[in-house]
Amino acid sequence: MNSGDDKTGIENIESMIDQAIDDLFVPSGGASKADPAQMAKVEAEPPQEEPDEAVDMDIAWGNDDKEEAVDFSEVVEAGDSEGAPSLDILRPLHEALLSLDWEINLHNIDALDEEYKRLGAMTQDNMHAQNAVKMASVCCKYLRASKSLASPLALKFLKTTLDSLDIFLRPPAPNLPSKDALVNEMMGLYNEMKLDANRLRAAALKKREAKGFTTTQQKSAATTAAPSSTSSADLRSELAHVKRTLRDLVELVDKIERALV
Amino acid sequence: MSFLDLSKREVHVKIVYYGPGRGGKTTNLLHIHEAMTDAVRGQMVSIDTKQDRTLFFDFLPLSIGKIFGFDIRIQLFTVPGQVIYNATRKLVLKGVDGVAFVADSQVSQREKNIESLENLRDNLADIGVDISKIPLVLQFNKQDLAAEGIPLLSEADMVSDLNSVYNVPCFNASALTGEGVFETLREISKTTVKSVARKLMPSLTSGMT
Repeated sequence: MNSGDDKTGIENIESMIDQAIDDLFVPSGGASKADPAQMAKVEAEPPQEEPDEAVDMDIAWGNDDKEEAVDFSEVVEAGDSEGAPSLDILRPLHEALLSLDWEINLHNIDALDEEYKRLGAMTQDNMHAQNAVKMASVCCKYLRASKSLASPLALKFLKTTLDSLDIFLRPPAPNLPSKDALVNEMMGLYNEMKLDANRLRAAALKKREAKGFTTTQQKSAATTAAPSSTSSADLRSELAHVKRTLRDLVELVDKIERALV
Repeated sequence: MSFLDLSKREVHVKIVYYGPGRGGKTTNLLHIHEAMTDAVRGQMVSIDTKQDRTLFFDFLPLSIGKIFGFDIRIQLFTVPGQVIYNATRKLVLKGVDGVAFVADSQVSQREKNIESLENLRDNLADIGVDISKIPLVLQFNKQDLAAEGIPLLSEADMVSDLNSVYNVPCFNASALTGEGVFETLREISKTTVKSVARKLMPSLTSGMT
């Protein structure tokens, strides 16, 4: 192929590309299918948020609090009359979860929570779905309290819940996974998430306490007027300790010098 | 770099939607995904990173049919805009063929747009790509906010801030309503696919029967 052929070939290809893409991407008329309300959930500015503070995540995990208790025992045994096709019902939930996965903020958490509430209202005769929604709602509360400091297992749990809901809402079929097995998986993850959240909370509390102690010390040092007798005693004790340490160090240096000589 | 699969006779072209956090990149892709027919669009999926928290980027393969016997598939990605996710952005940029930069037209976001474009330039440089050599399109998003009385940057300001050096095609848009979304996509798709075709011309012609 000579250079003239190459040029013609490229021009041909480019004109085909133009044509193919023009045919494919029709200007926004075809975009009418998009739901602006749904898009707004992604686009809108987030509300002002409090800084992440894992230690404030005082969450009712279902078996710790009567009001928020989720009776998981009934999940496995519960019968249901499911049968609604799940695909369309779960689509907004799926999109809300993707947004949350992208960025954990109050706006996205609220959007997901709203979707769960909506789904809960639509599936009142489906006990599996109801229990999944209850657990997910508690998870949303946890995320709201801890935001980006939340355990990564929280999002894993929500994704698993969504996958399970997809099965719970499908008409019964022999090739579908066992609902009991799915519930067990959800429960396992839920408990893991709870443990991890408690671990993170304890670590955050410890960190905050340490920070608080430092701040108190700094304040105490900065205060020159009339220190209390207790803090003076503490300071004298601290000073004596430093002096002893310095004396020991000087003696050690002397010894090393003598040894070298 | 685009991916050429001679056995399947497919060319994969990778376009990344880049820009500051909350600028509307995901909304662009959601809109495209909603508006395309099932025959053309693929499934949007999330991909777990190896980080503690899973992040996702949208992945929207589009089949635009056969050209010279090859299926051209356009893959659209977005990256997390938040500053802390730079490692993920770098990862997503690997192998990029074209970039649609989605800027936020709000006056309050002016600095963030500039920072993000600089970040794009730096991240591309890190993977050995010169931003001035790669197909690039700018989108000035959130134009609809003017109707709500939110102060927006003028087009001249946006061009001055973001396009005075690169001088690439730019579009006003509102991803929320769909305005400008397909115009941006069409332009970046054309320039990117053509750029890839030029690079792959020898392979494409030799692969023809």
